Amino acid sequence: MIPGWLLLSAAGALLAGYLGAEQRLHRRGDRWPVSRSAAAVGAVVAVAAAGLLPVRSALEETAVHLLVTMAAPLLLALSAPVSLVLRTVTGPARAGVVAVLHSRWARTVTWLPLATALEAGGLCLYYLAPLPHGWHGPLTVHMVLAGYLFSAVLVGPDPVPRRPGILPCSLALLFVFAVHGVVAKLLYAAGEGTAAQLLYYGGDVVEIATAVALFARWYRRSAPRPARGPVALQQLNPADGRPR
Amino acid sequence: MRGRSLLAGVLVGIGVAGFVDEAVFHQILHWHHFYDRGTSTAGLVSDGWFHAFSWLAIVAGLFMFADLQRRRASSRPRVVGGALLGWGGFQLYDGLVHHKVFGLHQIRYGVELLPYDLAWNLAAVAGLVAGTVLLLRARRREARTS
Repeated sequence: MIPGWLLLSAAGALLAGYLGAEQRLHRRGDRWPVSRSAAAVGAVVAVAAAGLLPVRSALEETAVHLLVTMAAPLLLALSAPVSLVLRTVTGPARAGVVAVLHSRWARTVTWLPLATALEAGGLCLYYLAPLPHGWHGPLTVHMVLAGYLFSAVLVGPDPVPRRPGILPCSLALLFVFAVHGVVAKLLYAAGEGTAAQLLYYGGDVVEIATAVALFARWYRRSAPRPARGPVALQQLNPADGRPR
Repeated sequence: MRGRSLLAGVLVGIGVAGFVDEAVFHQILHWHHFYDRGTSTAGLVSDGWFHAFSWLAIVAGLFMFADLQRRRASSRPRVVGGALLGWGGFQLYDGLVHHKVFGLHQIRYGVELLPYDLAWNLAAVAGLVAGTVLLLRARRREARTS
Protein backbone atom coordinates (compact mmCIF):
# COMPACT_ATOMS: atom_id res chain seq x y z
CA MET A 1 0.00 0.00 0.00
CA ILE A 2 1.17 3.54 -0.69
CA PRO A 3 1.50 5.66 2.51
CA GLY A 4 -1.02 8.48 3.01
CA TRP A 5 1.55 11.30 3.16
CA LEU A 6 2.86 10.27 -0.26
CA LEU A 7 -0.64 10.39 -1.75
CA LEU A 8 -1.28 13.81 -0.19
CA SER A 9 2.02 15.16 -1.57
CA ALA A 10 1.20 13.75 -5.02
CA ALA A 11 -2.23 15.43 -4.89
CA GLY A 12 -0.65 18.74 -3.80
CA ALA A 13 2.00 18.59 -6.54
CA LEU A 14 -0.59 17.78 -9.20
CA LEU A 15 -2.85 20.63 -8.09
CA ALA A 16 -0.01 23.19 -7.94
CA GLY A 17 1.45 22.09 -11.29
CA TYR A 18 -1.86 22.03 -13.13
CA LEU A 19 -3.18 25.33 -11.78
CA GLY A 20 0.22 26.99 -12.29
CA ALA A 21 0.35 25.91 -15.94
CA GLU A 22 -3.23 26.97 -16.49
CA GLN A 23 -2.48 30.37 -14.94
CA ARG A 24 0.36 30.80 -17.41
CA LEU A 25 -2.03 30.09 -20.30
CA HIS A 26 -4.56 32.58 -18.99
CA ARG A 27 -1.93 35.31 -18.53
CA ARG A 28 -1.00 34.81 -22.17
CA GLY A 29 -4.65 35.20 -23.14
CA ASP A 30 -5.10 31.55 -24.18
CA ARG A 31 -8.22 29.59 -23.39
CA TRP A 32 -8.32 26.22 -21.62
CA PRO A 33 -11.59 24.26 -21.35
CA VAL A 34 -13.01 24.42 -17.84
CA SER A 35 -14.10 20.77 -18.10
CA ARG A 36 -10.43 19.72 -18.21
CA SER A 37 -9.61 21.79 -15.11
CA ALA A 38 -12.62 20.26 -13.36
CA ALA A 39 -11.32 16.76 -14.22
CA ALA A 40 -7.88 17.67 -12.81
CA VAL A 41 -9.43 18.94 -9.57
CA GLY A 42 -11.47 15.73 -9.41
CA ALA A 43 -8.31 13.64 -9.72
CA VAL A 44 -6.66 15.71 -6.96
CA VAL A 45 -9.70 15.26 -4.70
CA ALA A 46 -9.71 11.48 -5.32
CA VAL A 47 -6.02 11.08 -4.48
CA ALA A 48 -6.22 13.39 -1.45
CA ALA A 49 -9.30 11.58 -0.12
CA ALA A 50 -7.44 8.28 -0.48
CA GLY A 51 -4.49 9.79 1.42
CA LEU A 52 -6.73 10.94 4.28
CA LEU A 53 -8.67 7.68 4.59
CA PRO A 54 -7.43 5.48 7.44
CA VAL A 55 -6.62 1.97 6.20
CA ARG A 56 -7.61 -0.46 8.94
CA SER A 57 -9.66 -3.03 7.06
CA ALA A 58 -9.95 -4.72 3.67
CA LEU A 59 -12.98 -2.49 2.97
CA GLU A 60 -10.98 0.72 3.49
CA GLU A 61 -8.07 -0.65 1.51
CA THR A 62 -10.45 -1.34 -1.39
CA ALA A 63 -11.85 2.20 -1.16
CA VAL A 64 -8.32 3.68 -1.33
CA HIS A 65 -7.59 1.37 -4.21
CA LEU A 66 -10.66 2.39 -6.20
CA LEU A 67 -9.88 6.08 -5.72
CA VAL A 68 -6.17 5.87 -6.58
CA THR A 69 -6.01 3.23 -9.32
CA MET A 70 -9.38 3.72 -11.01
CA ALA A 71 -11.05 7.10 -10.41
CA ALA A 72 -7.91 9.26 -10.36
CA PRO A 73 -6.31 7.88 -13.58
CA LEU A 74 -9.57 8.36 -15.54
CA LEU A 75 -9.97 11.95 -14.28
CA LEU A 76 -6.30 12.69 -14.91
CA ALA A 77 -6.57 11.43 -18.51
CA LEU A 78 -9.69 13.58 -19.03
CA SER A 79 -7.75 16.65 -17.83
CA ALA A 80 -5.38 16.46 -20.86
CA PRO A 81 -2.10 16.89 -18.94
CA VAL A 82 0.11 16.24 -21.98
CA SER A 83 -1.54 19.01 -24.01
CA LEU A 84 -1.18 21.37 -21.07
CA VAL A 85 2.54 20.57 -20.75
CA LEU A 86 3.11 20.99 -24.50
CA ARG A 87 1.46 24.39 -24.42
CA THR A 88 3.25 25.78 -21.38
CA VAL A 89 6.71 24.20 -21.23
CA THR A 90 9.40 25.59 -23.54
CA GLY A 91 13.00 24.90 -24.51
CA PRO A 92 14.83 21.60 -24.00
CA ALA A 93 12.20 20.32 -21.54
CA ARG A 94 9.55 20.58 -24.26
CA ALA A 95 11.83 18.90 -26.78
CA GLY A 96 12.31 16.06 -24.29
CA VAL A 97 8.55 15.62 -23.86
CA VAL A 98 8.05 15.59 -27.64
CA ALA A 99 10.85 13.04 -28.06
CA VAL A 100 9.19 10.74 -25.50
CA LEU A 101 5.79 11.13 -27.21
CA HIS A 102 7.28 10.26 -30.59
CA SER A 103 9.37 7.38 -29.30
CA ARG A 104 8.83 3.77 -30.26
CA TRP A 105 8.14 3.11 -26.59
CA ALA A 106 5.19 5.55 -26.51
CA ARG A 107 3.78 4.00 -29.67
CA THR A 108 4.07 0.53 -28.17
CA VAL A 109 2.38 1.22 -24.83
CA THR A 110 -0.45 3.17 -26.44
CA TRP A 111 -1.22 0.22 -28.72
CA LEU A 112 -4.74 -0.68 -27.56
CA PRO A 113 -4.28 -4.45 -26.97
CA LEU A 114 -1.15 -3.79 -24.89
CA ALA A 115 -2.73 -0.94 -22.89
CA THR A 116 -5.73 -3.21 -22.22
CA ALA A 117 -3.53 -6.13 -21.15
CA LEU A 118 -1.50 -3.91 -18.79
CA GLU A 119 -4.71 -2.60 -17.19
CA ALA A 120 -6.46 -5.98 -16.81
CA GLY A 121 -3.23 -7.80 -15.91
CA GLY A 122 -2.41 -5.46 -13.02
CA LEU A 123 -5.87 -5.94 -11.59
CA CYS A 124 -5.72 -9.75 -11.79
CA LEU A 125 -2.22 -9.89 -10.28
CA TYR A 126 -3.09 -7.55 -7.42
CA TYR A 127 -6.22 -9.36 -6.32
CA LEU A 128 -5.80 -12.97 -7.41
CA ALA A 129 -2.08 -13.80 -7.34
CA PRO A 130 -0.54 -14.77 -4.00
CA LEU A 131 2.07 -11.99 -4.10
CA PRO A 132 4.38 -11.12 -1.19
CA HIS A 133 3.16 -7.99 0.60
CA GLY A 134 6.15 -5.90 -0.55
CA TRP A 135 4.97 -6.18 -4.16
CA HIS A 136 1.71 -4.40 -3.55
CA GLY A 137 3.22 -0.89 -3.49
CA PRO A 138 5.02 -1.15 -6.87
CA LEU A 139 2.00 -2.96 -8.34
CA THR A 140 -0.28 -0.11 -7.21
CA VAL A 141 2.01 2.34 -9.04
CA HIS A 142 1.79 0.11 -12.13
CA MET A 143 -2.01 0.14 -11.89
CA VAL A 144 -2.14 3.95 -11.65
CA LEU A 145 0.06 4.25 -14.75
CA ALA A 146 -1.78 1.51 -16.66
CA GLY A 147 -5.13 3.07 -15.71
CA TYR A 148 -3.97 6.46 -16.95
CA LEU A 149 -2.64 4.96 -20.18
CA PHE A 150 -5.82 2.96 -20.83
CA SER A 151 -8.05 6.00 -20.16
CA ALA A 152 -5.82 8.27 -22.25
CA VAL A 153 -6.05 5.93 -25.25
CA LEU A 154 -9.81 5.44 -24.88
CA VAL A 155 -11.20 8.80 -23.78
CA GLY A 156 -8.41 11.32 -23.16
CA PRO A 157 -8.37 14.57 -25.14
CA ASP A 158 -4.58 14.27 -25.50
CA PRO A 159 -3.35 13.19 -28.93
CA VAL A 160 -2.63 9.45 -29.20
CA PRO A 161 -0.78 7.90 -32.15
CA ARG A 162 -3.23 5.96 -34.37
CA ARG A 163 -6.16 6.16 -31.97
CA PRO A 164 -8.43 3.16 -32.66
CA GLY A 165 -12.06 3.56 -33.68
CA ILE A 166 -15.14 3.27 -31.51
CA LEU A 167 -15.58 -0.51 -31.97
CA PRO A 168 -12.08 -1.64 -30.81
CA CYS A 169 -12.30 0.89 -27.95
CA SER A 170 -15.70 -0.47 -26.85
CA LEU A 171 -14.42 -4.06 -26.98
CA ALA A 172 -11.35 -3.13 -24.89
CA LEU A 173 -13.56 -1.42 -22.31
CA LEU A 174 -15.94 -4.40 -22.30
CA PHE A 175 -13.01 -6.73 -21.62
CA VAL A 176 -11.63 -4.66 -18.72
CA PHE A 177 -15.14 -4.13 -17.30
CA ALA A 178 -15.88 -7.87 -17.43
CA VAL A 179 -12.52 -8.86 -15.90
CA HIS A 180 -13.16 -6.37 -13.12
CA GLY A 181 -16.58 -7.86 -12.32
CA VAL A 182 -15.28 -11.43 -12.41
CA VAL A 183 -12.31 -10.61 -10.15
CA ALA A 184 -14.64 -8.94 -7.62
CA LYS A 185 -17.02 -11.93 -7.59
CA LEU A 186 -14.14 -14.40 -7.26
CA LEU A 187 -12.92 -12.39 -4.24
CA TYR A 188 -16.43 -12.50 -2.80
CA ALA A 189 -16.49 -16.27 -3.33
CA ALA A 190 -13.14 -16.42 -1.48
CA GLY A 191 -14.78 -14.73 1.54
CA GLU A 192 -13.86 -11.08 1.07
CA GLY A 193 -17.48 -9.98 1.64
CA THR A 194 -18.21 -6.24 1.61
CA ALA A 195 -14.75 -5.30 0.29
CA ALA A 196 -15.43 -7.40 -2.83
CA GLN A 197 -18.86 -5.82 -3.23
CA LEU A 198 -17.33 -2.34 -3.00
CA LEU A 199 -14.79 -3.33 -5.65
CA TYR A 200 -17.61 -4.62 -7.86
CA TYR A 201 -19.95 -1.63 -7.63
CA GLY A 202 -17.20 1.00 -7.36
CA GLY A 203 -15.62 -0.46 -10.49
CA ASP A 204 -19.02 -0.25 -12.22
CA VAL A 205 -19.22 3.49 -11.51
CA VAL A 206 -15.78 4.22 -12.97
CA GLU A 207 -16.31 1.95 -15.97
CA ILE A 208 -19.73 3.42 -16.80
CA ALA A 209 -18.21 6.91 -16.56
CA THR A 210 -15.51 5.78 -19.02
CA ALA A 211 -18.20 4.44 -21.38
CA VAL A 212 -20.12 7.73 -21.23
CA ALA A 213 -16.91 9.68 -22.00
CA LEU A 214 -16.10 7.30 -24.87
CA PHE A 215 -19.50 7.52 -26.53
CA ALA A 216 -19.85 11.26 -25.86
CA ARG A 217 -16.68 11.77 -27.89
CA TRP A 218 -18.00 9.53 -30.66
CA TYR A 219 -21.24 11.56 -30.62
CA ARG A 220 -19.38 14.86 -30.93
CA ARG A 221 -17.05 13.58 -33.64
CA SER A 222 -19.79 12.04 -35.80
CA ALA A 223 -21.96 15.17 -35.82
CA PRO A 224 -23.44 15.69 -39.29
CA ARG A 225 -21.82 18.86 -40.62
CA PRO A 226 -23.71 21.33 -42.75
CA ALA A 227 -22.14 21.70 -46.18
CA ARG A 228 -19.59 24.49 -46.27
CA GLY A 229 -18.06 26.75 -48.88
CA PRO A 230 -17.89 25.38 -52.41
CA VAL A 231 -20.23 22.48 -51.63
CA ALA A 232 -22.91 24.90 -50.42
CA LEU A 233 -22.48 26.99 -53.55
CA GLN A 234 -22.90 23.94 -55.77
CA GLN A 235 -26.27 23.35 -54.22
CA LEU A 236 -27.47 26.76 -55.42
CA ASN A 237 -28.96 27.21 -58.83
CA PRO A 238 -26.43 29.29 -60.81
CA ALA A 239 -29.23 30.87 -62.83
CA ASP A 240 -30.80 32.80 -59.96
CA GLY A 241 -28.62 32.03 -56.91
CA ARG A 242 -31.49 30.28 -55.11
CA PRO A 243 -31.34 26.73 -53.71
CA ARG A 244 -32.05 24.13 -56.37
CA MET B 1 -30.14 3.95 -41.04
CA ARG B 2 -32.77 1.19 -40.61
CA GLY B 3 -30.10 -1.23 -39.43
CA ARG B 4 -28.85 1.39 -37.00
CA SER B 5 -32.33 1.92 -35.53
CA LEU B 6 -32.60 -1.82 -34.94
CA LEU B 7 -29.12 -2.00 -33.40
CA ALA B 8 -29.77 1.01 -31.14
CA GLY B 9 -33.03 -0.62 -30.02
CA VAL B 10 -31.44 -4.01 -29.31
CA LEU B 11 -28.61 -2.38 -27.30
CA VAL B 12 -31.02 -0.28 -25.22
CA GLY B 13 -33.22 -3.36 -24.66
CA ILE B 14 -30.29 -5.43 -23.38
CA GLY B 15 -29.23 -2.52 -21.19
CA VAL B 16 -32.71 -2.11 -19.71
CA ALA B 17 -32.93 -5.84 -18.91
CA GLY B 18 -29.55 -5.69 -17.16
CA PHE B 19 -30.47 -2.51 -15.32
CA VAL B 20 -33.85 -3.85 -14.09
CA ASP B 21 -32.14 -7.06 -12.96
CA GLU B 22 -29.52 -5.10 -11.01
CA ALA B 23 -31.68 -2.25 -9.65
CA VAL B 24 -35.00 -3.99 -8.96
CA PHE B 25 -34.13 -7.63 -8.22
CA HIS B 26 -30.73 -7.16 -6.55
CA GLN B 27 -30.94 -3.76 -4.86
CA ILE B 28 -34.61 -2.97 -4.16
CA LEU B 29 -36.29 -6.34 -3.65
CA HIS B 30 -33.13 -8.20 -2.53
CA TRP B 31 -34.54 -11.33 -4.18
CA HIS B 32 -31.38 -12.09 -6.18
CA HIS B 33 -28.22 -12.80 -4.24
CA PHE B 34 -24.84 -11.27 -5.12
CA TYR B 35 -23.40 -14.75 -5.04
CA ASP B 36 -24.72 -18.21 -4.40
CA ARG B 37 -22.64 -21.06 -3.01
CA GLY B 38 -23.80 -23.15 -5.95
CA THR B 39 -22.23 -20.76 -8.44
CA SER B 40 -19.65 -22.28 -10.78
CA THR B 41 -16.65 -20.32 -12.02
CA ALA B 42 -18.08 -20.52 -15.56
CA GLY B 43 -21.21 -18.88 -14.16
CA LEU B 44 -19.20 -16.05 -12.60
CA VAL B 45 -17.37 -15.42 -15.87
CA SER B 46 -20.59 -15.40 -17.89
CA ASP B 47 -22.20 -13.09 -15.32
CA GLY B 48 -19.22 -10.72 -15.42
CA TRP B 49 -19.36 -10.48 -19.22
CA PHE B 50 -23.10 -9.93 -19.32
CA HIS B 51 -23.05 -7.41 -16.49
CA ALA B 52 -20.38 -5.38 -18.31
CA PHE B 53 -22.06 -5.83 -21.69
CA SER B 54 -25.47 -4.65 -20.49
CA TRP B 55 -24.00 -1.45 -19.03
CA LEU B 56 -22.00 -0.67 -22.16
CA ALA B 57 -25.04 -1.56 -24.29
CA ILE B 58 -27.30 0.98 -22.61
CA VAL B 59 -24.72 3.77 -22.93
CA ALA B 60 -23.91 2.89 -26.57
CA GLY B 61 -27.58 2.39 -27.49
CA LEU B 62 -28.69 5.73 -26.03
CA PHE B 63 -25.90 7.64 -27.79
CA MET B 64 -26.73 5.86 -31.07
CA PHE B 65 -30.40 6.74 -30.63
CA ALA B 66 -29.48 10.39 -29.92
CA ASP B 67 -27.38 10.38 -33.11
CA LEU B 68 -30.32 9.01 -35.15
CA GLN B 69 -32.65 11.60 -33.64
CA ARG B 70 -30.40 14.52 -34.53
CA ARG B 71 -30.23 13.22 -38.11
CA ARG B 72 -34.04 12.73 -38.02
CA ALA B 73 -33.37 9.20 -39.25
CA SER B 74 -34.74 6.94 -36.51
CA SER B 75 -37.38 4.37 -37.39
CA ARG B 76 -39.63 4.04 -34.37
CA PRO B 77 -40.96 0.49 -34.97
CA ARG B 78 -37.38 -0.72 -35.48
CA VAL B 79 -36.14 0.94 -32.28
CA VAL B 80 -39.07 -0.38 -30.21
CA GLY B 81 -39.01 -3.81 -31.88
CA GLY B 82 -35.25 -4.05 -31.40
CA ALA B 83 -35.56 -3.02 -27.74
CA LEU B 84 -38.15 -5.77 -27.14
CA LEU B 85 -35.89 -8.33 -28.84
CA GLY B 86 -32.85 -7.22 -26.83
CA TRP B 87 -34.76 -7.21 -23.55
CA GLY B 88 -36.40 -10.59 -24.20
CA GLY B 89 -33.16 -12.19 -25.36
CA PHE B 90 -31.19 -11.05 -22.33
CA GLN B 91 -34.01 -11.96 -19.94
CA LEU B 92 -34.27 -15.46 -21.46
CA TYR B 93 -30.49 -15.98 -21.34
CA ASP B 94 -30.46 -14.83 -17.71
CA GLY B 95 -33.48 -16.98 -16.82
CA LEU B 96 -32.32 -20.18 -18.51
CA VAL B 97 -28.51 -20.12 -18.62
CA HIS B 98 -27.61 -18.04 -15.56
CA HIS B 99 -30.36 -19.16 -13.20
CA LYS B 100 -30.75 -22.77 -14.33
CA VAL B 101 -27.60 -24.04 -16.09
CA PHE B 102 -24.94 -22.14 -14.11
CA GLY B 103 -26.99 -21.82 -10.91
CA LEU B 104 -25.64 -18.27 -10.45
CA HIS B 105 -28.52 -17.44 -8.14
CA GLN B 106 -32.25 -18.09 -8.16
CA ILE B 107 -34.96 -15.48 -8.77
CA ARG B 108 -36.04 -15.64 -5.12
CA TYR B 109 -35.09 -17.71 -2.12
CA GLY B 110 -37.32 -19.58 0.30
CA VAL B 111 -40.29 -19.88 -2.04
CA GLU B 112 -41.71 -22.34 -4.56
CA LEU B 113 -39.56 -21.44 -7.59
CA LEU B 114 -41.61 -22.79 -10.49
CA PRO B 115 -44.13 -19.91 -10.82
CA TYR B 116 -41.27 -17.38 -10.63
CA ASP B 117 -39.25 -19.19 -13.28
CA LEU B 118 -42.31 -19.53 -15.54
CA ALA B 119 -43.25 -15.84 -15.19
CA TRP B 120 -39.63 -14.75 -15.79
CA ASN B 121 -39.06 -16.83 -18.92
CA LEU B 122 -42.56 -16.46 -20.40
CA ALA B 123 -42.22 -12.67 -20.07
CA ALA B 124 -38.95 -12.97 -22.00
CA VAL B 125 -40.60 -15.06 -24.74
CA ALA B 126 -43.48 -12.56 -24.93
CA GLY B 127 -40.92 -9.77 -25.45
CA LEU B 128 -39.20 -11.72 -28.21
CA VAL B 129 -42.50 -12.47 -29.97
CA ALA B 130 -43.76 -8.87 -29.69
CA GLY B 131 -40.44 -7.54 -31.01
CA THR B 132 -40.48 -9.93 -33.97
CA VAL B 133 -44.11 -9.01 -34.83
CA LEU B 134 -43.31 -5.28 -34.73
CA LEU B 135 -40.25 -5.70 -36.97
CA LEU B 136 -42.08 -7.92 -39.49
CA ARG B 137 -44.99 -5.48 -39.64
CA ALA B 138 -42.62 -2.54 -40.22
CA ARG B 139 -40.92 -4.48 -43.02
CA ARG B 140 -44.21 -5.36 -44.69
CA ARG B 141 -45.43 -1.75 -44.49
CA GLU B 142 -42.22 -0.48 -46.08
CA ALA B 143 -42.42 -3.11 -48.83
CA ARG B 144 -45.96 -1.91 -49.63
CA THR B 145 -45.08 1.79 -49.75
CA SER B 146 -41.87 1.49 -51.77
